[in-house]
Amino acid sequence: MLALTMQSLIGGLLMGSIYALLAVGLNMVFGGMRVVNNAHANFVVLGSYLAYALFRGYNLDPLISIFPLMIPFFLLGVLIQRFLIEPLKRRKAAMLTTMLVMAGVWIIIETLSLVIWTADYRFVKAPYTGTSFEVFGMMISKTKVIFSVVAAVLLALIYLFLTKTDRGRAIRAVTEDREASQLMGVKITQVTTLTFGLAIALAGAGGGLMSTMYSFYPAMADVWRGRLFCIVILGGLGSIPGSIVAAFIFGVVEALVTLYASAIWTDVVTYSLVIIVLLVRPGGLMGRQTA
Amino acid sequence: MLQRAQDLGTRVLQQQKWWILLLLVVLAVLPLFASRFVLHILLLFFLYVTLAESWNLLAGYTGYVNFGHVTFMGIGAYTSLILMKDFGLSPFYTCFLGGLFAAITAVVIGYPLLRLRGPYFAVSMLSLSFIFTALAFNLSGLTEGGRGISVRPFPSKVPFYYFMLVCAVISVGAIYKISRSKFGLGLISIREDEEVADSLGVNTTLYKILAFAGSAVLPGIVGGIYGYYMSYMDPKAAFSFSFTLNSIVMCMLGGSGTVLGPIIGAVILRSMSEFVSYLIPGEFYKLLVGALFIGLILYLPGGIMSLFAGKEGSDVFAKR
Repeated sequence: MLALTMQSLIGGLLMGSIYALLAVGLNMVFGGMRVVNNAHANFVVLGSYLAYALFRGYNLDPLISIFPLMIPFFLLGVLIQRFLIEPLKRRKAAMLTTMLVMAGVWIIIETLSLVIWTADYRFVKAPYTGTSFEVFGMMISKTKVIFSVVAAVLLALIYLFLTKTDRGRAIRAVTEDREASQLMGVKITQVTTLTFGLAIALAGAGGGLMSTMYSFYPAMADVWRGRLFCIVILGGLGSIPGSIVAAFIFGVVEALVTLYASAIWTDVVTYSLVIIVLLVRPGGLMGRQTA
Repeated sequence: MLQRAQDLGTRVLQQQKWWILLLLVVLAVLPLFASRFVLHILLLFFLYVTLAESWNLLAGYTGYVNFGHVTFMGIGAYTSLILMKDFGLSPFYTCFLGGLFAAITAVVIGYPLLRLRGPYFAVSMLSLSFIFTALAFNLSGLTEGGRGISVRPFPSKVPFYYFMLVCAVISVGAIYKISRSKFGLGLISIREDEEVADSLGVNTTLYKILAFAGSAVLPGIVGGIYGYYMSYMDPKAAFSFSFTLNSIVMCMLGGSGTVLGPIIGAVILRSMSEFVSYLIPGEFYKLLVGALFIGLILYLPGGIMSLFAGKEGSDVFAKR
């Protein structure tokens, strides 16, 4: 039982790093721009589909194809920021308005992928799919290991970008305090456009990675939407370290519930956990407590 | 601005009393002539008016945007269908029990959750609808899990039609009454500034919970009737986000926080989606809904009612 517990703990942590990759993008957009990106999960699933298309068409492994895929996703993010978010920001509309606009984007992406790829379950079967390492009697999925490493590398790159470059520092400054950073001469529009592009690119890359781990269909986005929102809210809106911590908590709790109860109860337990945490800390684990 | 849009709604309802009565009479005798298809379209329209008006009560008046409105409908649908399957009781009677359950759920979860603001409330309601979906999947002894509950269909559409019509009329009437009452003013004061309302002696907690429970009753009732009408319910259909989304779009299209807005929104959206799915079958009409949604928020945040009320749209969501 100990080996099994350890095995699912490790599995949960690996999953956590992939969650973290997706949640950080969602939260960067919230912190920097006060945009509740309802469609983030749809970009994830769109990433899965495009990776699938490249795999079917050109036999490109998602491990490689996610890097070129990040470019169109970045551009898509830039366009959405320029044409949908910026006008709202200029009108000083509320956060919830952005949530509604992005819900429109969500419907459009979901319907388009339904029309193009139908509602069938899709899956990318890479050579390493379904195989695992055996360490001390524990079976650890190769796909999870490979992709959590890629996710960790991407997260590290984002971290370096945010801490070591001027643009990155500007993003963090805007995340902390929009008005003050504007007063310090940060070009808000430029920074937020960059943030949005990066976040969508991360979502697309994460989706590409995920295409070999889970079968997906257009409404799969609902599953991710629920989880990612809960992770971001659990960690605290606007707190990137909070999102990473919450992502690991989420991954581990899911793995343990699956082991000790059953996989069907993970949603009930994790979503209830989020609601309970919010009741004790209305701003999430590491967020500002005045919502 | 918004006040004027509301006044417009109440003025129309008061001055055009006879026209409205005539409309209701026409709707009441329609089943004698109309085809089953027309009844089906109207029935869905009444369902959506009920959902949109009840969403409007919480979001339009108090500003708490509920992204899990379908939860109440799903609770109602399951309550009625389980009672029918296990005890043979007709949903025409037990749907009220579904409404009651939905309201009780709203009170129990509303007490803690309504302390959360803005996106936190919206997301926690979204999570709640996911929790209920998962419960409906997992408690398969009660709900038959993913296979769903099938019940013997009722032979005629007519009773469903009348029931939905009554629910829609009640929902509009309730919003009309509430918008003209002290309670309604209290709700609006919460939307405009909750702290100030609280300090001026509005019992904000009580008001919010009452509004929340009120917005849960009718979805619970129509949920049961809708489930019986479809004679089949599974977790995905019962808790489908598209019901929530349609309620929100209808309110925003017509103008949330107004009496007539959701009806106008429902008329336009329903006829448009029927028309487009007639022209191009399949899921294409959803693209239109999405595009319309984005266009509205960008260019007409106060909905159609704001066009009549004044020069600029009044953004109900501007305060949060």
